[in-house]
Amino acid sequence: MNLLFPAGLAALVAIPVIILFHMRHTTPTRRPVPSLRFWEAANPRPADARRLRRPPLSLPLLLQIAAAALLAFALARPATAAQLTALAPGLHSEPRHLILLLDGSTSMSATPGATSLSRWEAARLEALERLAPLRQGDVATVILMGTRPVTLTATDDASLIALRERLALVTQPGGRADLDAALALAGDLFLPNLDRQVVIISDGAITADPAVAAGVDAPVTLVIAGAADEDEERANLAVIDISARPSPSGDGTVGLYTSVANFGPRSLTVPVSLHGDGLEIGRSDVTIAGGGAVEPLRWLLPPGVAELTVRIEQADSLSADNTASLLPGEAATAAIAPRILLVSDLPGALARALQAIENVQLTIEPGDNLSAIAAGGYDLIVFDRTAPPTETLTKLDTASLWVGPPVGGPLATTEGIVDPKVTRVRAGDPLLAGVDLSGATFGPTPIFTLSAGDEEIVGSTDGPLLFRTQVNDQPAVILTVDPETSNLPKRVAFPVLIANVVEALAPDGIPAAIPLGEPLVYEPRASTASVEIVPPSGEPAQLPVLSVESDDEEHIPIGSASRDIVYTDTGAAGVYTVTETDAAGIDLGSTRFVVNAGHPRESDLRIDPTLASALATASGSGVTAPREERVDLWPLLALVALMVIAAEWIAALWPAARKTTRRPVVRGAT
Amino acid sequence: MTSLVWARPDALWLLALVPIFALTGIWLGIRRGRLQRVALLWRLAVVALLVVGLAEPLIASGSATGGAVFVVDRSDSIGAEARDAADRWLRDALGAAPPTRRAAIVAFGAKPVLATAPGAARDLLDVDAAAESATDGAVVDPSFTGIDAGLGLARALPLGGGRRIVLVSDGAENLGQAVDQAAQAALEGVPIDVLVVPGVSASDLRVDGISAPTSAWEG
Repeated sequence: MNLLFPAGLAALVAIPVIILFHMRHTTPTRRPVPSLRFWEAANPRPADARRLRRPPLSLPLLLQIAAAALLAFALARPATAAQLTALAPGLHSEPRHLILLLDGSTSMSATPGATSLSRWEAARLEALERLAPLRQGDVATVILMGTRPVTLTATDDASLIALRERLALVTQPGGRADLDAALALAGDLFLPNLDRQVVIISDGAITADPAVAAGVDAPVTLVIAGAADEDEERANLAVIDISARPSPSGDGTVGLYTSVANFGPRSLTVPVSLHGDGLEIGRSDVTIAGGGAVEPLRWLLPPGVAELTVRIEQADSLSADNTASLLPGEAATAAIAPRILLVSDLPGALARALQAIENVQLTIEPGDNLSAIAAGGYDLIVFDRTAPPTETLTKLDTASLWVGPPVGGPLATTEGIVDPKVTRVRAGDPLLAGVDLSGATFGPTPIFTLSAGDEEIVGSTDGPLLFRTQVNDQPAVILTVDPETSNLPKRVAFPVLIANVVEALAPDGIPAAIPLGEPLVYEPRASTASVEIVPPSGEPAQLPVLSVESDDEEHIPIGSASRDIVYTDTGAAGVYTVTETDAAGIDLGSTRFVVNAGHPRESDLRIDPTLASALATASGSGVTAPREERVDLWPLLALVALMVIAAEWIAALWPAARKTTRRPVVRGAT
Repeated sequence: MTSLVWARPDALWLLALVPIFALTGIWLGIRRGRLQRVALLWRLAVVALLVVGLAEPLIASGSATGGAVFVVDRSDSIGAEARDAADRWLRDALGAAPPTRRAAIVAFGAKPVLATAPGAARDLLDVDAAAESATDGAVVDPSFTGIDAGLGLARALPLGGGRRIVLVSDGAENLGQAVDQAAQAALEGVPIDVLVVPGVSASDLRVDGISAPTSAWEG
């Protein structure tokens, strides 16, 4: 046994003080008596003969001494070996670092049949139980594994209490848990002089890389939250995919494609219904083999449906993934879609190619509408065989695509005009992905000259046919060919090439649906200063956007910095609303996207059979020498002291109580 | 901002003993002349203080007493001169920190290592801030730059209270996605300051890539 604060034994000085008090003669109580005749004979010794007397061996004195001794001993903070842990649970004194990896993925929403608690709630209770014994000197790190791993830490008593309070209230993050990343982080968290313990609390439906687990270098304990039941009890049905696209037959109808999976051990036949804007518009019975088999379904959609929901009409332990939704009309009506201005006096093949691109807003203006070009507010300007005057060009503040630019425009040309043939192609360039130029003819084409920094993508012996450059310090792509004299627009390569250029130059639109746990990454429009995303929980997230107009040399040049928005909190299933605002706080538009709970990995609730063996590779051989667990006994001693004081109180007052109870008996006798 | 919290709030139920002691003391002690009022008050005070001590009152300090985690790039892309300049800046920053400010240093290359454990910022001046090995003896692998792992460790370090992260790097990331960690730090309200140090210059010659046809024929 050790004393962590030996100076506390100084409080033992209270014992002689107590004894001294008991040795002191008490002042006699003043009592009126009728006669002093027998007084002297009854009390022959005068009261003040001695100030002190021998200490009386009374029960109150002994109890007071015991209480003082216990308190002094408690102040000295005795710590003893772990054999007394059972007697005083949670009162250990050796500092340790407890790292809890708490699985908050969507699969933890499942409710095992025998209990009313979800696995997440069971895991949280387990985590709180593990944190409860920690005391001053201990360090706790809780890594909440979900789409966005959240780390909570505590380094002292107060922060441990705050951590427990926060953990008791924290909501399930959902999404997919990356156990390997969490294990790697736990391995990096090596604090000196602390005994490190890693505890994973999960449903077991999670994978771990043995090599990563081996790098943790500390003992890893796996705790299965809720019941560790068999595959039969972990059976789950899920809608794991949903999409809508035009029918390949070209009849103008739109088809809804969905996949239903059965992660149970046996084949099942279940009803699946389709709802459009809240009304049931389809239903069918589907037979799905067990063991994770997937059954595809297809429905023809009526026109004009804004919101679709596919639902498996059978209850199971994870109900969230029994439904999946889609917003087929959102992409067409979204106000956030990139805005493209086509400047053309005679819209033709180029206009048709731009109109075929999904999730963009296209505006067409004639070449002489210079105010529209100079006004800005577009994410991409496409010049179709036209070029604005220099004074308008200097106001161009966005990326541009030039198709068949005229001679004498802002792009330098020689005097020659040729009928070029492709002789050079920049292999692997993203603008040429899926573009087959074999057999294409280009017609009379001016010879353009490349400036320093320009990048030829397709070239002929006389000059470039497709190249990257900068116009007014903004990125630009030049297609030197006149689409009306070339056969290029009649080939599949043309719309593919235009779509590639738009994808490269204009910001991405927001997809109508995002897989569970996948981050939303998109580039807001040029005038956007802030993006607000409201998840299904209703708590909005404000994401600032890097300004494109920053000329401050101290800031990162815009050309090298990404304006992409990265939103990672897509772990909760439901509808998310995205709103863009400008620097003045004015709404620029909003759109919605859907995240569905069904996922091939998260909907599979079966325990990964390789998990235990993978975690067993974490030997902890590099941990500091094993420490003897000790328990801190001062609270026990203080509690016993309190009981002794209570006993002393009873002993001190007992004669009075006994006298009170006897009095009626005496009265009855007389 | 500070607040009072209790380590064992359940122990406060024992305060119910105080009125019991008081009533019995008054009834059986003071009223019958067996106990003086002062003695009763002393005993009640002892019991109450003992119970409060058992409940362990604590003063919880807010995030204002947090600190900084310095995430220092030790990859090969940073030259010796730039590294020395960064180390001087780091020592100056630690030396100028308020006495109560805590700090830790994470060094990273391919993987992050904890160069100095969290402690008082000024105490870190005594240790080798430029250390390339961790508290557990792990050594930085300088062949890659994994900023995201360094930021991830900085976010997870048990520093106590709030924190801000100071990244000292040339930004030449070639492992992971630092922007993901930055986005998560932003959502948690953890600011990241960046001290840009010179890395490999743009005029440096290098083999940027190599490609070859998938098949070739003789002749």
